[in-house]
Amino acid sequence: MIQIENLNKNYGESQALQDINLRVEQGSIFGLVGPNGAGKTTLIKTIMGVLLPSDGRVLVDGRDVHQDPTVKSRVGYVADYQNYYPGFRVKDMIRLYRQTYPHWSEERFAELSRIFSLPEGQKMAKLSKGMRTQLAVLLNLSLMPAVLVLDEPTSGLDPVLRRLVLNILVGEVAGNGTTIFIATHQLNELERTCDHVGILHEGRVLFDESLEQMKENIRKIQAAFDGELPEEFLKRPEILKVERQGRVYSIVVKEKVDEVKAELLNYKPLLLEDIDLSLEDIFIYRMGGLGYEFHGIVA
Amino acid sequence: MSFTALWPNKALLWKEWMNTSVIAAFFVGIITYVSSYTLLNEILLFRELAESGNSYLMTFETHDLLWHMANKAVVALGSILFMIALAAVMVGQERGHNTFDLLLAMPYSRREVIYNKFLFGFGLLLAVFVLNTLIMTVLIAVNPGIDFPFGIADVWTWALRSVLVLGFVFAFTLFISSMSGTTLGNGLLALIFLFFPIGMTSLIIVNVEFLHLLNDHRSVDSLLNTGMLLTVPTYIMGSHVFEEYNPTYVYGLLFLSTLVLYQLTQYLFARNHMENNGEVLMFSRIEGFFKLGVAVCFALLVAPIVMHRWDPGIFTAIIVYLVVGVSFWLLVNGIINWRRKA
Repeated sequence: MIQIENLNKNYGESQALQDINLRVEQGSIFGLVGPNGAGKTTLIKTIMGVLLPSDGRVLVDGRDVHQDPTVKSRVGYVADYQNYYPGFRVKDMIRLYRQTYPHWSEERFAELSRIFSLPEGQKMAKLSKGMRTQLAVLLNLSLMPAVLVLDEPTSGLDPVLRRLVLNILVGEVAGNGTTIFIATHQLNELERTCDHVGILHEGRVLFDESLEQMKENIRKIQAAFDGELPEEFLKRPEILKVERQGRVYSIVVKEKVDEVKAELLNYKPLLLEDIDLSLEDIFIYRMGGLGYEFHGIVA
Repeated sequence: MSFTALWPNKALLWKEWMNTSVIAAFFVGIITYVSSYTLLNEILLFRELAESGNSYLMTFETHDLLWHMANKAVVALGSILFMIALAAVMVGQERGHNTFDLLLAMPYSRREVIYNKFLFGFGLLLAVFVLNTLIMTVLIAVNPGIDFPFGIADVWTWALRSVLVLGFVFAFTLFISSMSGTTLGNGLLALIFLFFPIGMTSLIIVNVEFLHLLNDHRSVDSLLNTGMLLTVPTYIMGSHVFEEYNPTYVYGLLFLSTLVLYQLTQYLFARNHMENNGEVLMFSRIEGFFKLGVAVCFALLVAPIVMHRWDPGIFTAIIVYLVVGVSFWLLVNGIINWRRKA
């Protein structure tokens, strides 16, 4: 379990993270999205103990990662760009991880090595970004993590490997109860994998909710009418967006979905149905509702 | 730190070896060359001369034994530079390649990372000197017929002094590296500050004499002696500190200073903000002191060179000092900002 309490991080005068409070339950996948410069990497590096917090603390399984780094013996970390010792070969990095992590599993390593097939004699400096990411996934899953922290884990991977990595991660949660904290721009990936999603903007967590709750709270209603809907109805605050094509209205509603549907029935619709929105659409509407520029979040 | 954390960490020590093996190998090679190898070579030559009956050369050869003693300052300076380079690279390269990110995401505390860097440096020093001293001891012991200009005790004293002084140099460079953000910065600043006492004393004397403010040579000598005493690397470069002072006190002081430097390094590294890696200084709070220091030192160094062709009045001299000082202040300020933006 990851618990972040009142976390603040300043870079000189500017505040990179502001009063972050998050809780990621054991065996769940938490997805963090945010535009470039929102503070995702800063948050992840602070969670991992690389950066010192200006205030607040990060607990993994109840232990402060900055006070007691040994808690990280069961924490894997895949960075956006994995920094390795350039003079090392792949086999040297494997050796370093093997010697560092007490729960290292040779069995798991052998199993994953067959999937990723990395050249062990290759110098780290000559590995492409995709190969670095593959190596990071291989190493960090072989250490038998209880918690996995991932920063853009699929960047640089081809679509096949991307799908494979995501499936492996989901398998980790299902098979080993691993807690996963993942930051990405790929909302479609989050939709397939995450239980909870949080959005970070200008160093603040704007909201974090379960994906299910999010999808229930914001929906698109499609309805067809012979006549027009009254203007005052369409101006209700819970209606985020209205589109009309001929007799068909598409109405995006937040929170009071059932109430709006019940009222629409009063206008005798020819057709009335509500549709799940994609995560991407939900974010666009939620953020738009909050008055935020959202273009950067959706890659 | 818990007791178990005092054990060396095999993975971290191995990593240090992998990252610094070229410098370490050079260091081992040079010390071995100037000590064991040279002694063995001279002994073989001595025997050859003795067998061929050229006994008149024998006295000369015995006094040439242990070549490094004859070229003490050069060899010592070489070893000092190697130790500075070793420590500067051990921290600087981790900053430069952002591998502290990797290391600190692992289950290692900052204290453990630095502790093992110290262990590696001191382990290397001890291994090199103990090994060579043992070889030299054996060589001397199995050649009783040669009238060596030094005894086994002298060889061990040489090793002890070298380890203590080079250990101090290594610890001092790691201490500087906990405040500087680049390998070059680590090395240069360590070199400057290690020789700072004698350098600063000399600069003050040059300037005071240039401005005709002091003509008392005894005061000048006394200042220079104090400067030399505070410049630890010179202890193995021909300084008479071990003859002038009780060696036990000097050893004790060196050992204590090294421990203090170790603790200071730990204290500062624990407060390093890794986002500042690559900048000239890791702590913005010391920027003002650093700039002022550079400005003062370069004013004292450059101003007399600029003015040596004429005899300026005190007013002109002050202007020149100020102009040079401000120029260097601006220069170092520019460099700091450039690194920050990079």
